[in-house]
Amino acid sequence: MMKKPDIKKILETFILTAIVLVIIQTLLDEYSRYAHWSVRSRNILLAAGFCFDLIFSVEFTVRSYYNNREKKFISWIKYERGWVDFISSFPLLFLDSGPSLFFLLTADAHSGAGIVGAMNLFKVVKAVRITRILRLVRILKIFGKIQSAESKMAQHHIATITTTAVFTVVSVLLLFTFVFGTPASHLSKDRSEEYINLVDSLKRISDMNGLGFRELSEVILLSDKNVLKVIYQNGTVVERMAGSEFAEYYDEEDYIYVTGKACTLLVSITDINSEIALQYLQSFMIIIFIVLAFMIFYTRHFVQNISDAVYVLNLGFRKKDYNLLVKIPEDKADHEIFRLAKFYNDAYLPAKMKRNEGSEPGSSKSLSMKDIIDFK
Amino acid sequence: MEFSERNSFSETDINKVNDFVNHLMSNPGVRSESPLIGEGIIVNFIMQNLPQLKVTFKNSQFFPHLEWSQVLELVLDNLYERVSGAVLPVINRFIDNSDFSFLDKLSDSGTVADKFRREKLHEFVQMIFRNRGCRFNMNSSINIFNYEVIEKYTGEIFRRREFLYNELVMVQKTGIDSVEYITFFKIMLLVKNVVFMKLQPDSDNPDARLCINDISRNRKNIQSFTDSAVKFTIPLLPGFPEKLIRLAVKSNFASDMIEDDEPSSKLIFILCGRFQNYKHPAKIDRGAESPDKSWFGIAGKNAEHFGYDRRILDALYLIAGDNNW
Repeated sequence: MMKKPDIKKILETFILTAIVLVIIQTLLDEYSRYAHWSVRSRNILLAAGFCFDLIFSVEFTVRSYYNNREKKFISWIKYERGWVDFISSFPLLFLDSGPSLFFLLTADAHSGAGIVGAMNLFKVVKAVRITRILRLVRILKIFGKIQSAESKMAQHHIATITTTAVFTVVSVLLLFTFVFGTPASHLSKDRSEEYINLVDSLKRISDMNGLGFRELSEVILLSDKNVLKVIYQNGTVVERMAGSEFAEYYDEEDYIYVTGKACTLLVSITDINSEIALQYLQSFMIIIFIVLAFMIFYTRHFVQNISDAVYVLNLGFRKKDYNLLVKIPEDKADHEIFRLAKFYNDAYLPAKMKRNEGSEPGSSKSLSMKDIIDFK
Repeated sequence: MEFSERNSFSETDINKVNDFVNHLMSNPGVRSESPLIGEGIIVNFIMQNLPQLKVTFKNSQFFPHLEWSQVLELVLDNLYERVSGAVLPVINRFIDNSDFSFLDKLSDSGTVADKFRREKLHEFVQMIFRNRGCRFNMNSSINIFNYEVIEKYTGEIFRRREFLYNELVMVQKTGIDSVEYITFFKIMLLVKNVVFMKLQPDSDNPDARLCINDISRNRKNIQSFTDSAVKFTIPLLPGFPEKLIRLAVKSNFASDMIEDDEPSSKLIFILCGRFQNYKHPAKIDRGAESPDKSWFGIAGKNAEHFGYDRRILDALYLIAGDNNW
């Protein structure tokens, strides 16, 4: 007979898979900016990010509903890392992937006056792109599933210390972003000013020498690898590359409009984006490695020095036929837990052996008259 | 009343009793124990609840047409068949496959054919095993056979050549090698349970029959009981050295009742204590020492109370610890 599938287990596995995938997606998303992948590839990653944020927001809503129904909402939020579920779902959906997808679907990427207002709003929203780092907090959820400690105490304490470390790093990064702004906005502003000065200087020189602005500036401007287009005041447009190539590799995030006295330039900021992406990747890797380090090294340390000893003590105190000594590492014999273990080894277990002396394994109490009468 | 011919019972009765014993054996408290302990639990239960069981067995679902004593006989017979089927093969394999010729060196009886020794040992084991008192006390020996304890520890004692080796070879002066010592110890394990038979310790009083549980533990009584047990056993095991039989009988006593030149008895006494209630662990918990090391360590703290030789326990503790046993 086919076994009925366990829906809860299937959903748990689905969410676990989604967590692994969202971490990969987040790293790829930043890497695509660093390596300046095509616009299409980056848009696919953006849409994937939106889907993940939507899945996690739905998951948070469902978990909230069920926990609330069982009157466990507060304890779930506080003690079972429900808050991790929250900060890595709705804020990202509404502040990062949601707006990004919205502008991707609604804005005409390369023309139209209406885009200017939308783009201004979009850039404000993009300032909170750092919140994407919160997705990384989700790896804490995986922790409980894949680390080797079976002890609930070990799981709880290691999760607590890992959460504290990761959240501290994330908080500091967010704080810096909100206090000092994103590095992208500073660098873009600097670049904009740099090219305004260039255009204005070229205009002054052309005026002083009685030369046409285009005649003087075109070669100079197009020799600059950052200048993608020159739009003269008379509406003439000079492009560095073919329109199809431009559309394939550049979207609104990759350039800025710089308007000087004689022309408007489309200036590439892909190098700035690449540098920022590298910084984000570095931050992500720091968080991932913090979690991995706790999972691998600290878990082993905690299990060997605390929870394994407590596990054996607990069984020895509670079970009549459990008589194994606690392993006491020589260099840690003065730790409180191992001093207790020494007392257990040297005094409790010998006394227990004496107490159990003469008691037969499995007494006749194992059977009752009911067992006899049950015979058919 | 241990056994009778089954022919007097119908096939239906025998099958029903078999189902009934199956039912008892499937009880979790019985199933989790070794066959010998399981048998002990059932027999003790029956003995403690005789009046109620007599009435119950007369019900139509049980054996209304059989006498109480007949039901009891069938049940005990069935239990014995099961237990002997589960336990004896390991002993029979040992007897059939061992080389006993080294015993010639240890006795004055000259050369004795192995076939003869095997026959006699088989008969002796059958006799011991049929006696319920002896059988119920064989659990440690059976565990030691099943888990090849003697092989492991003797091999390690001879490999290390430390305290225990010196005790066995130099002090006891039994000049045999490791493989021969394994056989030597295993014979001791089979012989030692003879003390649970009712013997006649006092020739002046032929009606007095005592087993080890009936004697008070003072040196004089123990000496007298040992002598009578050895005297009883020697004719049953011709070709087996008296020294071996004496060591086996004495392995039932605390170390302060055993002479210094009898470390084999002290060692077997400890191992039987260790494996009396032994349950083979499925896995060892990470924070715990290995089972044997733990037991020898704890027993070391209680050595005086239980009558174990402290120095032998320490040696076994080190061996078990080094080998994660």
